Amino acid sequence: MHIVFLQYYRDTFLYNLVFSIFISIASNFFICFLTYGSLVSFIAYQYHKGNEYYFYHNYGYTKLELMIKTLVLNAIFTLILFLSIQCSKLMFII
Amino acid sequence: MAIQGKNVSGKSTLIKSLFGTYKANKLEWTLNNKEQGKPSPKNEIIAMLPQDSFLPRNLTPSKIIAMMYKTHKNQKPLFSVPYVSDYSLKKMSELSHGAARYIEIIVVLHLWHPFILLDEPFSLLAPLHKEVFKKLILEKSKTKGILITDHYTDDINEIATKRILIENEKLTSVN
Repeated sequence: MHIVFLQYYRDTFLYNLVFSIFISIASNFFICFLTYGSLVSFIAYQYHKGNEYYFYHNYGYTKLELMIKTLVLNAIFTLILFLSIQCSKLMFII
Repeated sequence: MAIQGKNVSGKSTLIKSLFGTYKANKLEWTLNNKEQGKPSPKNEIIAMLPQDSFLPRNLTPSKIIAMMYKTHKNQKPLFSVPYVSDYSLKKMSELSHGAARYIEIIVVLHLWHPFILLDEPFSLLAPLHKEVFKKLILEKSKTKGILITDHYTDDINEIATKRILIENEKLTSVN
């Protein structure tokens, strides 16, 4: 994973995390983070930092490639977080 | 090469189409007499300086250069450009518009792409920065193809080897 992509991921991750925590009051955090939270993060990034896409384009990343990689990393993050929570719950019961 | 024309004549659209961030209805382009496919940033043939600020505002120029140019050998020429070291430790958001624009130009001109598109690079630049930029562009034009659009005719005339005029989205003259 290249550091240039991680800069994009960090920015969209923050939008997604804030939105998903807020929505988790009424809905499931994990589902939100994986689906519409990701979508909202892309829209928020486009709105606030849309021109910064040129930074990534000059490095050879297309917008679609950045989004797909972000979704994959979000899925991995969600899975790890979900399993960690389930494991800690199980350990607490035992 | 310079592209000149009034506002809304289609200069930026042409540049964005060549870079691959604007979908043109029809675009055919050749490189060394070989027809190229759909333009895309992924090809890494063309780099572009857009009109508006594009470097992450929460990072310092020093960090940006380290991210884009992995080795110290590649980073060194950027820091040796006048004034770059002076700004390198401030965040992009803390720099003046002119200084931020200057850093952006330096970063783009040092990219590895054989062609560089510069959309209004002279706007916001301080006179001292302009002089450095002109020298650098003349040096880089020995090894790279550089296409500039700008309204600063005097500055353009100093560095351009070929000028294209666009009027009403049509190419009208070349000299």
